[in-house]
Amino acid sequence: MMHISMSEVCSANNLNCFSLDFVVNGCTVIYDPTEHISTSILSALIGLDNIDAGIVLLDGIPYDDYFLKHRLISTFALAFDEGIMLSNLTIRENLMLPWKIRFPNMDITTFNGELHAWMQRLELDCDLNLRPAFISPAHKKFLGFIRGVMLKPKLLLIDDPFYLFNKTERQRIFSFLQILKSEQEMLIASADDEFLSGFGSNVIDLSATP
Amino acid sequence: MNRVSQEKSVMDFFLFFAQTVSELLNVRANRHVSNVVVFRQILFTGVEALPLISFIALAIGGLVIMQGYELLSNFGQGIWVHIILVRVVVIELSGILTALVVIARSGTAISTELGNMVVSREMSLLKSFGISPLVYLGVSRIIGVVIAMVVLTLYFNIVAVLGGWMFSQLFNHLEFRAFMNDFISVLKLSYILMSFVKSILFGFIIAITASYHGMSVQKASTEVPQRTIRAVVSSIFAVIITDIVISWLFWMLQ
Repeated sequence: MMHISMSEVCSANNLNCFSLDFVVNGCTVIYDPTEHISTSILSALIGLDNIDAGIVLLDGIPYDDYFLKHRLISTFALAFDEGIMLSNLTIRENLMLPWKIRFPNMDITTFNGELHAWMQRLELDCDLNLRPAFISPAHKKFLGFIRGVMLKPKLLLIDDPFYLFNKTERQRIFSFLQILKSEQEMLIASADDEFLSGFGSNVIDLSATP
Repeated sequence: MNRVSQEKSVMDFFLFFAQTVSELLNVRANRHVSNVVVFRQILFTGVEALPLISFIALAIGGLVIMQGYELLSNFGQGIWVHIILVRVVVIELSGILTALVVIARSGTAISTELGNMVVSREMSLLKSFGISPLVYLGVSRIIGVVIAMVVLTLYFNIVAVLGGWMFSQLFNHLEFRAFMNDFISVLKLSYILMSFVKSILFGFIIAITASYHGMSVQKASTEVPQRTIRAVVSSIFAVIITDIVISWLFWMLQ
């Protein structure tokens, strides 16, 4: 459970400003048809530069102070809307890079075992020694989910889970997230009615926000 | 939250410079410096540039001997041509020409690659892991380029001297041992030191300028070639000005 409070947070050159106070318990979905505010919320939580101003409190503690005591990588992991990977590393190296930072003392065999298990759960099959440019955007996005889940963060942030997927892939990720929400706390930003209607979680509806 | 700067300026560069130097000074404790990135940079900047550097060094060494011999033989001093080789090649040309090759190959590559990484949000990905892109991508590349630059400059000097000897054979059939004895007799430790210092500074300047311009790309892919051009022009200016300053300081100290 995490209490997140955002006050006068602004992005896009101060065009999008908002204040929001909510508690993530289990799985919470932020429904935002415009995507502006939901993307800014995730950016503010992960500490990206595209936030211009504002105050963010995590469990009542100012953002910077919170990360004096906690590591970012063990608190949040972000599954981006696009399956972003470092183009100069292989897929395996891409997945291993944050994992080694998160679990510096763990053995590589543990990594391989976990990766294999998650790939089976998502019915994924691809050559992990390839560079990301050689696999489809949908595959990259699935692997982005796996990368986030393997970090076992306090809160998994997911940006637009249906983006880039066809109907079959949407069903696959939907079923996966339905099962995952009993194991992992998640904050999902979505602009998709279809996702929202079937997911059945706590919803923060930003559609009425001017 | 940090205020996002709209336009990169000289102040931004000095801030970037200060952060980079601070991270470099703390490099041993810095866990985000990537050995993989360092080794790949050495491979690209150093090893893959060897054929081009060999060709230029051989040609320059030979041409300096050819022109110098013609000039000095008018005064009956043709045997002292290796002094020109030391003064012109070891002190000046090796550093500058190697730097120009590194700017053309690695400076452009670093700037383009980092710019594309910003556009494809790979920098955001690194930040989401709590990894500083400046350290992981910038500092690691700077270390790689500096190491490669030092080795390439040394290699340039060796090949240029060999080229000089090969061409001098055409004019006055000088034995290799005799040529090297004469060459070493005029080569001072301070000349080698100056060449070494220049190569370190040139490598640092090229890598930091390319990294700064690459990371200064904001969102659009059209910014990438513009930033790369600026990186090349700025690097050439900075390298030549640094060369003049170091040479001037060197002569003042002498």
